[in-house]
Amino acid sequence: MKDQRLAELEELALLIVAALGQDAYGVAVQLRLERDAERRIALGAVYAALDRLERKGYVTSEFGDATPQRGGRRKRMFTATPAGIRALRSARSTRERLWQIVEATGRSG
Amino acid sequence: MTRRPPFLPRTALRLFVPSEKLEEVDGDLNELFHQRINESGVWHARMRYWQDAASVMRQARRFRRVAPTPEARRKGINTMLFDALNELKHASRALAKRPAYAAVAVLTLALGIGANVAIFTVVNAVLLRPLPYPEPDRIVEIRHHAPGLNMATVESSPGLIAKYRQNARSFEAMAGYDMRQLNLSEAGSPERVRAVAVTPELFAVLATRPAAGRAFAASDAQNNAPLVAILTHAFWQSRFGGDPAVVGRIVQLDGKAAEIVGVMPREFVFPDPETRLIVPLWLDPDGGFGAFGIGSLARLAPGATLDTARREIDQLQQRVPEWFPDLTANDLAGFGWSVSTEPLRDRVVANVSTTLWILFGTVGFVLLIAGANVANLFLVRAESRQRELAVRSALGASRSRIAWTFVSESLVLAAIGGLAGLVIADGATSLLVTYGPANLPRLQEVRIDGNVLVFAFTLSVLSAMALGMLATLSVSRRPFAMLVRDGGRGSTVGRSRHRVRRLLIVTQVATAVVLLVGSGLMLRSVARLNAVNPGFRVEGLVTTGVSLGAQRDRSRAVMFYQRVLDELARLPGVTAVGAASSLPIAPASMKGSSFEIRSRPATQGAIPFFTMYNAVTEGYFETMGMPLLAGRAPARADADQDRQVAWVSQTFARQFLNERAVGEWIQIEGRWLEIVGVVGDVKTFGLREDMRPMAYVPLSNPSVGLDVMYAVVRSAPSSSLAASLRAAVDSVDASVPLTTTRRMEDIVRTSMAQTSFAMTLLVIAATIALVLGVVGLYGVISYIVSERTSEIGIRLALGANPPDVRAMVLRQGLGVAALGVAVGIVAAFASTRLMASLLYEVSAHDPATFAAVAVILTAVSAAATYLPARRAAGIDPVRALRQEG
Repeated sequence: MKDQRLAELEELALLIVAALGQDAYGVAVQLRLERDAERRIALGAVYAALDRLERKGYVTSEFGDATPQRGGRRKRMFTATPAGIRALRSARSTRERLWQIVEATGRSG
Repeated sequence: MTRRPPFLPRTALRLFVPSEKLEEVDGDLNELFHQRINESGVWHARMRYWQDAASVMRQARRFRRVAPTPEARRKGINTMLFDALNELKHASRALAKRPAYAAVAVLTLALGIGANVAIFTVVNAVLLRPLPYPEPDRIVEIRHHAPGLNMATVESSPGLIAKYRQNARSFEAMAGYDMRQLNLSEAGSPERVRAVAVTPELFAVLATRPAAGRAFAASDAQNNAPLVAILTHAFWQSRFGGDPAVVGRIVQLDGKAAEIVGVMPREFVFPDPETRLIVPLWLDPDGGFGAFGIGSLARLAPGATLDTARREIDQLQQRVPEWFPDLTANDLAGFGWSVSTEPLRDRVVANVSTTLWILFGTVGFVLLIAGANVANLFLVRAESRQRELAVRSALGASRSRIAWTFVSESLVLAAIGGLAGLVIADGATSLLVTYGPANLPRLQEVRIDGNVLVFAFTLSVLSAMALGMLATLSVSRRPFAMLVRDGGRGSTVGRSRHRVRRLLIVTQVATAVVLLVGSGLMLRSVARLNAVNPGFRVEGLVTTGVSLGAQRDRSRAVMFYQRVLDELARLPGVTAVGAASSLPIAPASMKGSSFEIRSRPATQGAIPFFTMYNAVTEGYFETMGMPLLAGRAPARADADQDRQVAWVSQTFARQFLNERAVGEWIQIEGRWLEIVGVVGDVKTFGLREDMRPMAYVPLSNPSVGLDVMYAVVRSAPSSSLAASLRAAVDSVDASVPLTTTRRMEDIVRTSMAQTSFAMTLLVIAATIALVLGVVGLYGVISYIVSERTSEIGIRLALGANPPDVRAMVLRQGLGVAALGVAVGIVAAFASTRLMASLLYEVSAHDPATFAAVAVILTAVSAAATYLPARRAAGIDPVRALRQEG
């Protein structure tokens, strides 16, 4: 059976895909990762994360439009699936539960 | 220049990324590249492109890992190849264990190979690749030369072209062409456009038709035919946005309606990339011998060769006096008349081919030095492996197998070095294209192509072979049995290998000498050029071309320019203004004419007097800072009242009038003019040229066209001057186009661009050569000393003085270096005359440069030898001998 859990980079990428809505493709995801998550990540790693998400059924992809800047090449547009959104929610609630424990025991420093 | 993503990683992506992923990846990378250029510049964008491309390829490889098992692979591949692969793997591992050695060797090779590939890329595009026309070798240019007229080349004339068409059999078509500057306007916005006027035969000569629309027909080139024009591909894109319906559009050329009848294909460039527009040229079939300046191109007829065509044109020269009755054979002899028939390509690249070949030779030398350094490293390593090899051979390894050990190691080094060299070349080529002289022809065609890859590959393989052979030879010369006995220790190492090393050092030092002499000569030339007095004050001078276009009414044009100058003079910070129909250093158009002097009528058969001339306004000499040596300066009334006056240059006065010019009368183009002043000489055709006779006339003189005047303004430095100039001209007439505002200093610098470019590259190459050479010398002497430690220890133990030991090592090192310097000086003496055409007022055998280089290299070699020599003198005999035990 495949591992359905989210690695950290996958979680961030999936969040960005969900946040970008109709405009999620390789370049956009990389730029968001660089600007909002303040992480410099090579394009290859972004593709790897997106490919894994697709294999897990959390995103789907299809070819979009081409622009002159892209030398006439089409974009591969990603959309988060309902399963993907559920996975994000569960990851978030896991974290929130754990945070509550951390804060309740006063060890957050 | 359009910014393209770096070539190498992009090609690699196409090869390594599965095609179903390529669309997305290539598009994303393109987009990121352009975005990053805007955000943080092209170099950052290139760097990130490399990183991203590499990461994607690592990723792609992971998808493909369904590789065959080793067993499956072994099956069907013959054992020899498998052994070879095994040996390569072995070599890679051995190298990986010595990262410092591998890194130095790879880096040195990469520098040498990279420099060569970069220059080859340019040589390939500019000199080797044929012109983009069918059978380009059959296109020839016919040019006439008349040094007696003070002009190196006079091209052709309508009369000569007509006679050649009637009489020459070697050509299937002959065309004439002439450069033009036209004001193009369409829907209001005017633009000054560089155009070429061509006879309809040009399309047959170049065997190239417009990509859209039609070529010129014979009827287009008749006098008074309706005006038509053809666009170049670049101009069609930039001005008309690639509009497919452009054929048939009407534009205004110099105020006359012209129909666009065609668009040339993208690769068409004639005669230079700046030419945007092609218009028809009418040549008078009954034209006279004079009216020079028309270029003539021809395509060889089937069966004709360059040689037969050349012979025919040479022979036809004897009939020139018969064709043109007002001309005698004596006149022609006086002109120093001659003709040249050359392939068009030679002419296109004539100015740069010497420079490029010299640079190519230079980087070849750099590779030689780099290779010698790596060879030295390699030899040291080969010797340290002797015992291992001896054991292997004792266990039955064949000699060829042992040779393979070295060859495979050098192959691995050269392969990595070659790849790294390609990366260096890719970047260096972009630098060359960006910062190289803009007047380098065919620069837009420079790119890495199949030829370049083959060249890089060949260079790498040759380096590997040379290295491998050298190492094998030096090791396998001794019987292996002996190696097992004393492998690597004991007795002094055989002299033969030291001979190889010394030879390498002599080569390195000699090569460094040649390059240093070359760059020294260039440095001196550039210094001399910088010190040339152009005859006017360059600093603070700004110029712009004001282009009114062809005008019927001359006095109105004169008035227009006067008003523009009045407006310019009113600008804040401007201290002087003037204008001329052509400016010195890089003249856009300069008239030349034979003339008569009233006080000394020409005798029959004498060479006619000849001068260049142009039109100037009041204030021009003063603004330029040209000294008035006698008589008076131009005044406004000279143009307003059409006074028949002229000013002449000092050389003119000296050459034709014994220095007493004022008051003499000369006749130029049928008008008698009184000389009213003498001004200082200027470098009319560039800093390298001699001072020539010049005459200046007022704007009212009808022999000078007034379609463009170059305003010169002397002003305090100001960043907004260009805008103020534009505003001042707008206040007179907003529809008049201006050429770019340029500082005179920039014009002078551009005129020296090629010399400075060659100098910079030579100095870089010579510096690399010097550093590599010195490092090589130091390395070899150090190594020899360390090998002789025991021998020196014994000498010291037997009572030798440390200073004597030091002197002995120094003598050894300096002896080799001195031999290298001597060989280098001889080689430089023989080769520097090849670069004579690049030099300015410096002899190719300039003794000062040669002496300085010899002294510098000897001093540097002494320093490089001194360190190991001191170490040798400091050897402790006891420890040296104990090590021996």
